[in-house]
Amino acid sequence: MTHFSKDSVLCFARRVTVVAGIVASAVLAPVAAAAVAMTDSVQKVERYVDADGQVKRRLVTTDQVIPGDELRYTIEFANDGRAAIDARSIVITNPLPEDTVYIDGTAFGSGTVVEYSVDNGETFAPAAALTVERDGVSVPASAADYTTIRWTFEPVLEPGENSNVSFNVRLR
Amino acid sequence: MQTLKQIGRGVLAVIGSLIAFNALAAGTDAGVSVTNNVTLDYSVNGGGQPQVTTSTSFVVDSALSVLVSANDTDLVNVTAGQTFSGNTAVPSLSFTVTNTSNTSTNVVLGVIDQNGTPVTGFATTGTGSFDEVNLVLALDDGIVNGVYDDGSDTLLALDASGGYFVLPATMAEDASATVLVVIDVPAAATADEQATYTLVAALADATDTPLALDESGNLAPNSGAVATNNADDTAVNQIVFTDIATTDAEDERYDFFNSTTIPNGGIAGLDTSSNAQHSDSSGFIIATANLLVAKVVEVLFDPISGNRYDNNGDLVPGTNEPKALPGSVLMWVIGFGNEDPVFTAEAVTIGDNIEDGATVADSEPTDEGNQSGSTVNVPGEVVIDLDTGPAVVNRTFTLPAITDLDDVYVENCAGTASVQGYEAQVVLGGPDGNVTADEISVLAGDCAPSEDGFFVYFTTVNTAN
Repeated sequence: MTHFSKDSVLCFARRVTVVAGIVASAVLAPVAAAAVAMTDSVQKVERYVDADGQVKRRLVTTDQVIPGDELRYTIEFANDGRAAIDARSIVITNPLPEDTVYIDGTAFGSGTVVEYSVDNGETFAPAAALTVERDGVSVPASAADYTTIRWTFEPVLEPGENSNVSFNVRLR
Repeated sequence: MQTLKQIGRGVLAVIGSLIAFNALAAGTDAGVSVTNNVTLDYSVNGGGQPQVTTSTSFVVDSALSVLVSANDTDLVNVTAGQTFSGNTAVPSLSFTVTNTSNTSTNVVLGVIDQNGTPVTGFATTGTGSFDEVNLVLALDDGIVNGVYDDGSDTLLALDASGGYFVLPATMAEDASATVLVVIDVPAAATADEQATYTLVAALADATDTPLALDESGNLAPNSGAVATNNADDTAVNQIVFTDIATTDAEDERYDFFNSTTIPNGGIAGLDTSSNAQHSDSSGFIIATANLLVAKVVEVLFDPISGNRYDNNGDLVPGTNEPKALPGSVLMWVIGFGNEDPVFTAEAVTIGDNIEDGATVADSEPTDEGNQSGSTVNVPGEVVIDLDTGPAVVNRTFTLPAITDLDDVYVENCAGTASVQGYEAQVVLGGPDGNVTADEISVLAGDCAPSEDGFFVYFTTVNTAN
């Protein structure tokens, strides 16, 4: 479990930059300098009533988070290097945080293929193809069964470009 | 990490566990740090690159809430003069108080006298109200049976101000307790009067001081505190009142900060959400069925005037008024009915004393049935004033087909007719075969409000002296 200073937590995100060829081990072929920066942030999905009396949703800071609250995690990534990143090579893997349950249909990422795992990341498949065993019978998996989400970014990510993926959970 | 006990409210020592624990799933425990870990893999020109990782965390805050739920489904029957001290199985109001927080908390209790306000959802509504002589709260911690057992159930103490009761131990997450409202009923209370009460539970700190405010801008009623919406801090366990509102009009809020006596402290208006308290109501009613019974006698026949009724059961026009002469035949009708608008009289048994029929001067001079040897006609219906006082409570009873004047004809409160042998009820054997002192006993069953019944039998005035 990672702990941050209060200041770093207050911004809800941490940015990590890895420069290829410097951190990479020797078994990785050195290539033109490439670097991916990634941040992870969380916000609370709040329902409110607008001036017209309509119930709407908005993202707010995690001022107070209590059981039952809906949260949105957003992972942003950017090519901070000088070389293009291969198509379909960016794979983001996110085990669901403990004490949360995934909210069906909320995983999203432009240009990505989203897959899920029900076995802690051992295998992944599209939602419709996942099954679990209940009482010895194989049945379609539900969102509550998911343990991990995986996004595969299909386009080439050129230097200077960025994108993001996101998903929502509910705190148990 | 700052926890509840570090926010100036003292240590939440777990003094002891309360009596029941339910799997209520209050949610993720307060103070838990929830961390999201992400990895990113990628390649450049076919060459794998070092994995990128990151994560973010927040701390789950304290969602404090308490829930009160009446276990009674209707007003609880009590009797005038009922007291609780030294008694067991004392009818009481029963409530379940549950800590629905995601952490432990202390809980205090207030009682609002609703002065007979009807309880929403209860089928019974009394007429008028009564004030209790004494009122206490008890923890149903012996045998959880919803009634007060002196010596077994624990009376709850008042706080120093005397304005509210305190539960004796910190309530663990999801813990619940059965709380009884117990009263001494005034002897002067009358039938169908009710006394209704609202039990209010409030969140309190380790010293049983009611919580005045949370960190999300919510206040307890009349706390006098200034609402505070503390700045975001994902690393701190903050307090948020998450109690739900009540919906029934009588479930009011309680002033734990200014009330000095029990029961009172009610604040007009419904209990609201996120105000650190929750309430529910129940009530007592004085249970007394009002069973009336009256007995009438009518001379149907004498040897001189003959029958009062024709063979259709109608009065014979003119002057045919038989008298209670020796040899006359009398009809005795005992009518009964429940005049209480609320309560059912259960297992009603009517006993009719039959006195020794040795002489005409006896109050009930009888030979059984029709000893006249003549045909005796009976009326089709009988009207009886069931109230023996000045009030008039007339009930009309339609007699069944009378085929044997030696029998007792019965119709119970449920309208079921039956025939009982007179001799099976009354021992014969007095002088000249008259009855001896004995009693007819009729089982009338349960008599619901407005239901009635009757029984009828016949005798002959003794011709022997």
